[in-house]
Amino acid sequence: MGRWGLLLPAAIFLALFYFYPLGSMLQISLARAETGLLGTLGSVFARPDLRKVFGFTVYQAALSTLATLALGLPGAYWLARFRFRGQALLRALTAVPFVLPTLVVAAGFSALLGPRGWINLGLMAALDLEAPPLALTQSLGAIVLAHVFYNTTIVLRLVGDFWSRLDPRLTAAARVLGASRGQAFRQVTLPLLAPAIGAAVLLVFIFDFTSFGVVLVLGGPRFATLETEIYRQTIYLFNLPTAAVLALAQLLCTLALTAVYARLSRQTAVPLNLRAARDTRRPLQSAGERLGAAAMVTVLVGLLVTPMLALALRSVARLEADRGQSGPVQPGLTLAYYRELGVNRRESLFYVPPVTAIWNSMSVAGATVVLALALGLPAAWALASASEAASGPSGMQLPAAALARSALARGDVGAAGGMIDSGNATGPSAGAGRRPAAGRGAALTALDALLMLPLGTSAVTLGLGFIVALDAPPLDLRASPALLPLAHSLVALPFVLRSLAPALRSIRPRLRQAAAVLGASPARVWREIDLPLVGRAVIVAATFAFTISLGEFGATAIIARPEYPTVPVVIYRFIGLPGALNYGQALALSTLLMLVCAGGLLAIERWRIADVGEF
Amino acid sequence: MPILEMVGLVKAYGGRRAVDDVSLALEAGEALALLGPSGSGKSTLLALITGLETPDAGDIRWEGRSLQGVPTHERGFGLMFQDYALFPHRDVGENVAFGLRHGQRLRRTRAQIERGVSEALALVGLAGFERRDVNTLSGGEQQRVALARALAPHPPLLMLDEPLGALDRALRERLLDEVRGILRRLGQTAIYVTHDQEEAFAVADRVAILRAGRVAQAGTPAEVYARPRSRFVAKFLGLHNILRGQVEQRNGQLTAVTPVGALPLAPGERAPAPGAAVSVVVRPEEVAAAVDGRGDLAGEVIEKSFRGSRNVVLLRVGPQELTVAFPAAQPLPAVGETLALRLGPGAVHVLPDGADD
Repeated sequence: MGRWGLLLPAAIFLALFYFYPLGSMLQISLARAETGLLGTLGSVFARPDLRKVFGFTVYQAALSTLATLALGLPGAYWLARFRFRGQALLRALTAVPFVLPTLVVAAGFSALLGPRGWINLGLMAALDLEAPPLALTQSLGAIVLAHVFYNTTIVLRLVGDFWSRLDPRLTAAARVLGASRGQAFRQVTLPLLAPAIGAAVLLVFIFDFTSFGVVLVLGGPRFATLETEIYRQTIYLFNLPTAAVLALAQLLCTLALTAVYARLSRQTAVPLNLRAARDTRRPLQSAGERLGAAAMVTVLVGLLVTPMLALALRSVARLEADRGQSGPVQPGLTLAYYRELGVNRRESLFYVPPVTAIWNSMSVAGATVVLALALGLPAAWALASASEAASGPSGMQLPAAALARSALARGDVGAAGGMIDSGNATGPSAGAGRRPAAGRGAALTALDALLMLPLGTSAVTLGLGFIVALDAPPLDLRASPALLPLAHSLVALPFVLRSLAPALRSIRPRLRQAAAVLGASPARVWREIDLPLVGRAVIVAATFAFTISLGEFGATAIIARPEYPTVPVVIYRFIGLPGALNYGQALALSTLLMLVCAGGLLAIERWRIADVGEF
Repeated sequence: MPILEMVGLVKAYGGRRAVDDVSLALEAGEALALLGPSGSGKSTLLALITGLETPDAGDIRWEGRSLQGVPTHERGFGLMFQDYALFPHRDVGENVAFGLRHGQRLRRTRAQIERGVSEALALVGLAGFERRDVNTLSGGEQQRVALARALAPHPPLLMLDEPLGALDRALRERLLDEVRGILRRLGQTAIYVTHDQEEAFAVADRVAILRAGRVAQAGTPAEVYARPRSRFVAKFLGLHNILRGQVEQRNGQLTAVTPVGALPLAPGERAPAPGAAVSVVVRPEEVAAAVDGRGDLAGEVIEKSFRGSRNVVLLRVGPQELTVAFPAAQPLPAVGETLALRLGPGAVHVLPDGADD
């Protein structure tokens, strides 16, 4: 079985559960329109209101991405390069918001900034006001803030993890060669980080571009993006052709972005001798460094912890009147909202105790991890080894390598090794391999983009596609418990691949060669070298798959059966209802989900350090 | 009959031939050094033998059978990588055990593997290092682990790619002796790649000097050093006093008439007939200071440099500069003064391919 064979499971999966549903949906949607696809595209974008929706979508996504980078890059630097007390805790903490469902994030900001949130309630109590004085939610600022809160972790993880393993001696070498601190950063660190930063920017932008829950809850009706508009057109207006065209426009945008990124990443990636993060971190030394670290920790904790804290505290605080309750409210602590979760007050058949919903969510997430890794691992390996062959450097010594070695004759082994490996990319054979492989490189670019497609497809679109296509033979999965894991794996697969492929690609070819020379067959090389070395990436990938599944809302809201809801669906049911009890229950469930996610994440972090260790 | 034969090997990267029609053979138990500057194709040659690269033309035969189509992991050779390529996620023992566990030729029991590991580690002087983390080892220790890992499965052919390249000088000299001792003790058939002639001479029974993918000269170290064929080989071996001249018969002896004067050729030199243009090399160690001032040559001292056991002196003789070495204890004239030289009988050697630069 060649390397293309390894892509087969993922390809079949995509064909069945992505292209087929998407095709069915577009077909059905467009069948109602009389003017065909181009006519519909033209007619939809001739409408100023939809043009405005498109413009706002891009605007808020760009703004959110910039703001996320502005916080995430300095954060990545301090976390990657320095060693200070509480670092592991901070790192774990910063991961928590990202694993939270959009609805929990929205609930958190609502509990902080909303009309029923701490700030407004506090001001009302202090100034004895009748109504909330500040309209902090339902604004662009709230959307951007939530996106920053939500996505900073992507930058911290993707850029920070890579940065922490980048050999600091490369920068040291540049400094010794006469580069200033800034020059060394611009000419050595930044280019080497570029693929990681590019990946982060791409993911953050696409996340913001297709963001659903945050815009729906915190933006309100004034701020429609493509995603909420597709939802509105489909669910409320039943205008499937318009929804389909909007979905198509969204898809084309994200596809183009992904293709550009795939091209860029292959041009900039070089094999690096990654080092253990343990060896690259140093203690804070100067007062400036301490100040910077303190400022970074304060800002991160302030932004990331405050809404979570607001949410948790608000869920145990009785601050406003229950529905139908009269008289003054006795403010105080209460567990009423939590006790209420298990009570079927409405005696509805569809009412599911949140405990069951949590169980549902966990089992769906577990199945998603298994499925996404089973599909993603072979595919990532195929992609990584194919791109290695396409850029074709032999692992053996090349002139550039010898130069590096003689320059570093008295230096230590690690630094020389790093330069030698990056020398491979600039040696004569690197350029040589590229030309004959150009066709394969193009195929690879296309394939890479193809596997990223679900990421750029709105969750609402995916959900609708499932409903439309998978409810009749040949694929009737309406009653299947596999429906949610399938949908969630579709969303998670790009993340799994993006976590795995770069790590696989960065394994030094020399190690595989050494194993082969020592008698390990290709399968053994994979098991003994690649698998353990990407262990960390596998865990990151599994974490992604798990948390994405737990938090997935757009598709789930549409395809989950009423008697089999996941936690986000139940939260959405409660948050949409008036009254302190319902709001409290939504916050209580959000808090529970937050704790479950954080607990799972902490467990994984701990297990990662204990088992895989540093390398 | 040679155990390993390379026949007309060619390997090109994008039109540039890294290995260009190389034919070499290796007897069982022999240690061959591939010596050459960087980019001369030494490492590519190793990649071809191990199967990490496929030749564009030519064949490699092991015990008379072609290795074409035999994948790397089934060849059973040992290779010690230049930067060691130790597996960072495995401890020392697991690194050394790797080839014992995965070797195709023998299934080994756990006890056999453990014994193999401890034997290999003992061989390189790292007994008891089994559970150490490879990332915390010093450069010299890593080098020994890499050697132990390559040796442990008892490969019939061991290749070493610049094994001492990354080490500092003192360590290099010590480890060089150890590597040589180990190879000799095991009677190991080996190919040793280096750009350092001292290393090559110390380790190898035979050396092949490579230049731009071709074999410039092959032979025993003594042969190659005594009779370099070309200016390239002479210069690469550190023989920098290369003069152009013409062969003449003088006083019943063949001499080369050069810009610095008429130099008697070493006896037994297969020089071309009188009148032919030649390049000759003057060996610095065969040149002595003429105490009485009446030497074969005289020149002005331009530079003196102290090298521990000897002084290296740069002289200007006529239009030419010559480098000569003297014992450190010998008193020498100051810079700017004149020094007379006497040539020993084997001092002047004709380069047969002298026209080849």
